[in-house]
Amino acid sequence: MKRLAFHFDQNRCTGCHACQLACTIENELPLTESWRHVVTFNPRRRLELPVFHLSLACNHCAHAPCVNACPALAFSRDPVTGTVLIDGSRCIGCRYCSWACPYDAPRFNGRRGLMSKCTFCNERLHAGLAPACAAACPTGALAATSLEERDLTVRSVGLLDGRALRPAVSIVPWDAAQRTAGGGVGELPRPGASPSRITVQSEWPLAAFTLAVPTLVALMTAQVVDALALTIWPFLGAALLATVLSVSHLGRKLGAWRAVLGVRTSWLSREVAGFAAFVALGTVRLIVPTPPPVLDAATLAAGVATLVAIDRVYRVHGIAVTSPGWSWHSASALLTGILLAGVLVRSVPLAAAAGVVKILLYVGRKVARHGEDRPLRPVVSAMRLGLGFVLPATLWLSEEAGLYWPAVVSVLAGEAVDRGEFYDELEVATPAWQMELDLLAASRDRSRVEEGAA
Amino acid sequence: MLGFEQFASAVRDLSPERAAGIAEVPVEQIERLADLIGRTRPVTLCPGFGMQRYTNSGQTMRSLLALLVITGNVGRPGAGWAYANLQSHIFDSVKDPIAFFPPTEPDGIARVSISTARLGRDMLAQRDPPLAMAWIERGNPITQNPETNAVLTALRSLEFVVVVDQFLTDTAREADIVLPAKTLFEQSDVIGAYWHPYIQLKQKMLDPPGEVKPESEVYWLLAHRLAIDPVAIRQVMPEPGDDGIEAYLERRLSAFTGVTLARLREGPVLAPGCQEVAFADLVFPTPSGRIELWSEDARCRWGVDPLPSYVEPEESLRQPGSGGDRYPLYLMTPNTKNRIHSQFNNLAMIRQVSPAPIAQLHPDDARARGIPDGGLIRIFNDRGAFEVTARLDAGIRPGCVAVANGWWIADGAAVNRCSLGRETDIGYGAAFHDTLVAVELVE
Repeated sequence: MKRLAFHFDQNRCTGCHACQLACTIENELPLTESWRHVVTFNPRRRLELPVFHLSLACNHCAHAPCVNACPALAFSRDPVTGTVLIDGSRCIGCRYCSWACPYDAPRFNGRRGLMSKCTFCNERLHAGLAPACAAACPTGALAATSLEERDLTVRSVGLLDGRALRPAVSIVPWDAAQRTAGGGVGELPRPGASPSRITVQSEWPLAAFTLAVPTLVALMTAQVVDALALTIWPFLGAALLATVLSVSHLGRKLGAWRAVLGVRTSWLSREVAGFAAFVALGTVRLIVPTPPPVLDAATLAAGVATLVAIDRVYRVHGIAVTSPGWSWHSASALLTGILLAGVLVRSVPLAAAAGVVKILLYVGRKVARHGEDRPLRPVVSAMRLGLGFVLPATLWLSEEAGLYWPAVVSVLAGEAVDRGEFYDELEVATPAWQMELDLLAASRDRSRVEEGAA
Repeated sequence: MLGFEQFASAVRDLSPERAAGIAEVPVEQIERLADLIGRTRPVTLCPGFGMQRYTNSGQTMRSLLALLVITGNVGRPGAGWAYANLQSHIFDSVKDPIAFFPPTEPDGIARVSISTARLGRDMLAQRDPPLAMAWIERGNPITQNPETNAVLTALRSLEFVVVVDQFLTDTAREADIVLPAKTLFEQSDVIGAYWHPYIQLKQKMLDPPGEVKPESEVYWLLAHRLAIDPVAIRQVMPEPGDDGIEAYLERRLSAFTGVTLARLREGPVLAPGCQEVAFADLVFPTPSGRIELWSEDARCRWGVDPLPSYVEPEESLRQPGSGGDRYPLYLMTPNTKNRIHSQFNNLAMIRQVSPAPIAQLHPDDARARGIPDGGLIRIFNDRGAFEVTARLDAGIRPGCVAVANGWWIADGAAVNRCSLGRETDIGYGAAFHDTLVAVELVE
């Protein structure tokens, strides 16, 4: 079956940026917010490596991760052209689609508080015209053509392997047989962080929210087993604060209610819906004088489901794995919930088991990251392990009654450090950043070849 | 051809080893290139415009042309020299002031007392009478002519400066009066090109906005105000208005058979008398009518060696006393694809891909000076200085620093602060690239 797709030949592109400018003109975009971008491999022109370009906008994937990720049902698809479109009146500016997309296509418009992205120039397509970017390409490097599904090849330097998404793009990669100048190979520095990366500074409301939820679920667990007596107002107050924090990072806060609409496909919607159910059930649970066991079970189930959803939110295509081979992070909301439940229920085996798993995951990740030349941050690690495990274990095991709550606070502080690190380590994959990583890899390969030859 | 024997003996003295010493290109690469050119038929050389910006560029061009000649790459399809193709510039004689003020010197050589390359110094040197006013249009001499500081001094010493421009350029800022200029979309014209031999009609697309008047109308009105004979005005200037422009163009085109506005409206027309294969008839516009490797004309008109030869540029690390001890880097100021000289540089659309000036510097040169990628550097010599962000680039030849020309003073990188007003050996060009500088990190 044929599909309309962008066709891009890296051997023909001269990096003139006409496509990028044509996009801003055609779509009347602010000049810094073109939907198409040209990224260059080896921009510092190291002689031993080639220089070539990659022009990318939205690839209108058949299995578009942005569509599935959107919690507000803001995406739609044109049945004739296959174009993936964002409805600005439905978008709530949560930016989750930009995390989900490995091609950096959806962009946040700070002025409007909304996402926008390439529309394939859908109206031009319906009028029988080529998209403005392709029409402006002076070398024939970029075109929009109807291609057989099997002819779509998306392997290129600068792109994560996205074949599972079935993007509507075909890239003719740089012909490696073309000669490069050869010559000295020096060490390249590791590229800086991805520019659109998630940081703990930008996402601290989410960090606070995702730490508050496991804490509330653990408190409710302790309540259910009568390990402590939780009252309604602190519970509701904490839940409300967590909600306000999570809403605060939306571009369009009044549209927050839409965040549950995508529950069929979006883990973000499921997180929001799960949390709403947990707070509602928990409130009833705290009001009813003698809650039935089914209410206890339903409340805790909603809480656990929320924790699972929180962890799943961050497993999307566009987010680079924080440390290869580890699908569990030591700051996982579910693991944190179990650890805190163990502590608050005062079950040493449960707390110890969760703690050991967390320590193993933490240390393992640090070792793996060290192998990738990433910063070690020994002070942060010492705080995470000291506050999170060593200090509370010592306080708790001293069996001084007065030291129990300081131990709980210390555990929470350690978890906060880890959660902060989690956000700091998340990388939103962008082609520009991936290109830098690929350049580093290519230069190291090249160095190895030179050493082998010498 | 004339002078083959003399040229052959001169070439025998110029070994690949000596060439390698000058060009700093390995002997093997020179030999490989020679082998490639010698064995390939036909060969076309495309030299580009950068090479003409040295004091020895005329002789360098002659040398390259000689290479084509001695390898038989002349007058044949696919062979030759792809350089500014001026066959379509049929109106040059109309536009050139020399057409109105023919040369007065007995040798028939056209000389101007104010050279483009030495604009600032020559303006200041005028004594009989001293310059009192300047009318500047279609140009931005402060950033684009050599020796920005001299041009600034010269303009500021005038009594009256008029600048016609679309934007408040560095030059327009020096004006007593700025007249708003039309854009190329606001008046019809007949145009040629550098890189093809076709003549085209550039059709007016919209009216000039507000009170903007095309330059031709400004002259028309001024000439009448100055009480010049209206009949004489009508002979050399188009009447204001679209009809006046078309009538003027039609009158000028009548000198060429087969080229009319009606014909041009259908599409481009090959320049009259255009040779599809240049010099296919092997007739040459030289005194002898032959190819002249030995050119007395070159010696008489330009004072250069009659044979094509290598002359060290005036400002060079191999030229003792030209400042290489204090200023060890060559400053290259090439054009960029993002604009035409200083035009369009102010457009937000262009800033999208070219937001700020950068100096490309080889990592080895940067390391020797403690300059990091993205560091602010000062580029300077005795003539001037400017500050710009360094961009380490292994594709730049060590010993060179490159900053695209065209940045405005307000952008911080007016590159001609450092160049010297000096002409090339042939053709009155400006030797922009004969510029030695030093580079240091701005603390």
